[in-house]
Amino acid sequence: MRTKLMFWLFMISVLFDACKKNHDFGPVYLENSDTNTISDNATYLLVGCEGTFQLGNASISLIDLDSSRVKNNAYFDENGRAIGDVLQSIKVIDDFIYVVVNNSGLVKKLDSNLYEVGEVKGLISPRYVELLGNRLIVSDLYANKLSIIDTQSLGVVGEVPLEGWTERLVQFQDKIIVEIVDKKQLVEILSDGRLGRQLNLSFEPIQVMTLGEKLLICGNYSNQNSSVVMVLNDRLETLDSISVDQKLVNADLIGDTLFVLTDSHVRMFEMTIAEEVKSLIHNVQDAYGILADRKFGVFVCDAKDYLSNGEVFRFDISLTHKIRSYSVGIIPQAMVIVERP
Amino acid sequence: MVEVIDSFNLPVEAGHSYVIDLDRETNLRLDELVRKNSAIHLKTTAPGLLSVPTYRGGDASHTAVLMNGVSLNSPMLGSIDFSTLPLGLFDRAVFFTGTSSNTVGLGGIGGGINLISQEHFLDTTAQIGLSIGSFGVYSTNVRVSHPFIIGRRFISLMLFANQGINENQFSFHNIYSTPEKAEVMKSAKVNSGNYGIVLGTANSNKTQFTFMSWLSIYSRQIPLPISSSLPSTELQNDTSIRNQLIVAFNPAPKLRLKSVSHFELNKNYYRNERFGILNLNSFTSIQEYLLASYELWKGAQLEVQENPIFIMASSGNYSNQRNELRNSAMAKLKSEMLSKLVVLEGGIRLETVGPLSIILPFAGGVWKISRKSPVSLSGSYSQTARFPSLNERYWNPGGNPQLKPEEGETIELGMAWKNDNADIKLTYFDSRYRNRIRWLPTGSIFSPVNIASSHSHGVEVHWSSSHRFNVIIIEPFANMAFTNSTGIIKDGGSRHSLSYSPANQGSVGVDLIKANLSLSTWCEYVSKRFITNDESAYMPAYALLSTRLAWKHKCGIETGLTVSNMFDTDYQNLPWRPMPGRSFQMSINYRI
Repeated sequence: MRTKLMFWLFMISVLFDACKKNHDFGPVYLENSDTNTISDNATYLLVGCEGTFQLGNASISLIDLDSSRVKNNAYFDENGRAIGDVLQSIKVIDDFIYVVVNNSGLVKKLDSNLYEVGEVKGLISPRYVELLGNRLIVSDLYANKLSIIDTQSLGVVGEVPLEGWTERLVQFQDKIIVEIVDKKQLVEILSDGRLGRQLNLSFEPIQVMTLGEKLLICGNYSNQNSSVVMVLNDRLETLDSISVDQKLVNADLIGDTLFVLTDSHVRMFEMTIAEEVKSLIHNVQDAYGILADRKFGVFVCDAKDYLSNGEVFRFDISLTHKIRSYSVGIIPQAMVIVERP
Repeated sequence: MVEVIDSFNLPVEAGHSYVIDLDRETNLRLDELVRKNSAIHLKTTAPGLLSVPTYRGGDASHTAVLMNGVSLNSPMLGSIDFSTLPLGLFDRAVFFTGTSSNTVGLGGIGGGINLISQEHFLDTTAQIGLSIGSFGVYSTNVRVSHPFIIGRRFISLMLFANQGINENQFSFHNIYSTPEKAEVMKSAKVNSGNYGIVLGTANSNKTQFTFMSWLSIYSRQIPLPISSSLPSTELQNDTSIRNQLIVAFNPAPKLRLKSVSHFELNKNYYRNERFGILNLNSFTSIQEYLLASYELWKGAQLEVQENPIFIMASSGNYSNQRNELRNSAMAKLKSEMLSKLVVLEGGIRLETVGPLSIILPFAGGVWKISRKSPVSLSGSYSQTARFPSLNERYWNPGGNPQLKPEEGETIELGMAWKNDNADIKLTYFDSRYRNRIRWLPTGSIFSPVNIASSHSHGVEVHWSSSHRFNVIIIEPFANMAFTNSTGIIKDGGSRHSLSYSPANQGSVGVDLIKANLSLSTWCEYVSKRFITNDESAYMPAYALLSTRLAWKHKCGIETGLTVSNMFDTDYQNLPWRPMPGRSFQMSINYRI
């Protein structure tokens, strides 16, 4: 009798236990408790952190450039959910922040407070966005096309078939220039969406930017520890080129000054004379991204071991010293400076 | 039933090796069996989906899985999915740890499992089983073994077939969504089939031939983590056929010879509709495992192994077909001393892959306190290595042909207490690994590099005993591992806990047997695991209680009901990959 009673008490306790749920069973991110606030009217560095592939822990960190306070997981705090899986790039267009979340297949449109006002769905593996007229052009790793997005409705309104891994885009005059990484090509997209000129490269393109009325492209040679910076005219003809004796990680321009990030250095090139004028050993563990700003200096992302929280290093614009560093989310790589109205 | 390997006869294996008789575990899969009976941690995506083992803070590729002494680890991936291994085909599973991996095969830096099939020359057995469970789990098993005599030859034939459908439609609590909601897992269906034959013949008491063939077919949908907003479009089909010819020849009382010839054809189709990827990965592996054992003098035995492996592998992500010749050779000497109270063993293994060679010494000893004492003490030292897999060297993009082997060094100290009723083992281990391989971004692609080093030390405990109270037999058991594993991912970096390595882990349970009725209850516990290298994020600890009630009728029918995760605990092994709650599985087996 007593045994039976014990048995039924046990079974009932099992059923009752099943009614309550233990919420603490998914990943617990200790840094989620970051409650720093960024003051209104601040100028801040917005840092997009990739997060770990398939863990859905991409995030946005805000660095108040006046007070140097950092607010991590800022998108989560504003919207109550994580931004998605693998934050690839960020672009500010008309006071809106477009965030490309690669492995979630999304482009999110945020206001300056990081509140999400809409998102583009139905993309395969989006990488970068650029404005062409009043349309958004989205490159893609696997889609073999560029998607054309209406900036108001955020619906896909067209596409430009383009074989290969399309990567960075830049608005150049009234057209878009797009890198095709696996084919080592630059391709023009005309304002009506037709394909224009095409340039075959001898290196893998890493960064493409406008240099006044010219185009600047940087890339790495395969199987060599060297890279190249090339200046092109509007017919995609080479005007000048600089050989660099290191592989480059990324690059950014301020006016005619090019800042090239390598594993060990930030190197400054004056493009008017096509020469390197300065360099700095950055002592960053795993340099991953660079942003140069005339007022606030040069920022370098440190991905560390790609599994831990990263860091952003700030150097003065003359590349004489490090100003300070900021602890941010996992694999920081996309940076823009935004002023809150 | 877990049986501790006799420490006294196998000094290097003495630390924490044990063997499981699979005959009593027909309703468990290997991954479930490992969870119940060992200190190996499994990173499981979902039931029936990818399940990879990690041991003592090692990686999945540090756990060697062997079939009759021959490696089953994929030369392309370096590891094997535990969920694809059927238990019905094998008779015993031998678990071994790092120091003993040198005595059985290559690559088991952390440890491994040797699956052993046997011939049944004495009796006819037949078993038909049907299993139905929660979430759409159906499986059938047939295993028939029959001995017969042709002329003066004893023949044993065993046929095995297993077919399963696992819809994996379990409900889970989606903590990623806002607001959180209950959902049902979709896109995680697994179909599986395993078909095997074991044919054995004994010409005399000196020679025995065994032929074994095993066809394995798996197709599965691969669900995305719940943190992804996209529908899953990934499908994977795996087909492998493994054939073995085992020849055991004992030409003289002091000399034992054994040869295992192994042929494996393995094909993997991966399709991702979203990305438009269709990839075929395949390899053919031909292995010869030769073993010679000779008694030099009374109490001293010399054993020599030779294991050449030829691999042909191709993939849409290799620039061309990769052919590779590997060789693994081992020689060891074992000697009894001090009136058999002490046994010492020492040896050397030589691993060769292409132009790379590495020498791995090992040694161990066991001291029995006295002739009547149930207590023995053991100690062993071993160097181990794992050569980079083909994917790590040749995957395009990213493969790094310059990779060096991962190397490890382990010391084990153990104490065993064994009598008729109980087995207790306590093992301290200290392992250091260098040149660990990690995939890191180099420019726009990921590439594997030798960067990390790690240090694991801890204690493993095994306890099993059997007690009879009137008509009831009570068999409690416990397997626990307390591991402190830390690593440095990059030179100059700080030391932190290794990712996905629980500090405490184990299972505790009891089997109650009364005549034909048995009740097993066990609890698995896995402590907090950090998932980032700076310890900034972790997966919480969990404990699961499971029970199994089985009834055996004398006519041969055996029915069982297993309730897994009785308290319906929410848990995840990998982030954002929910595991199922409480599930029921009914099975019926007919044995003659």
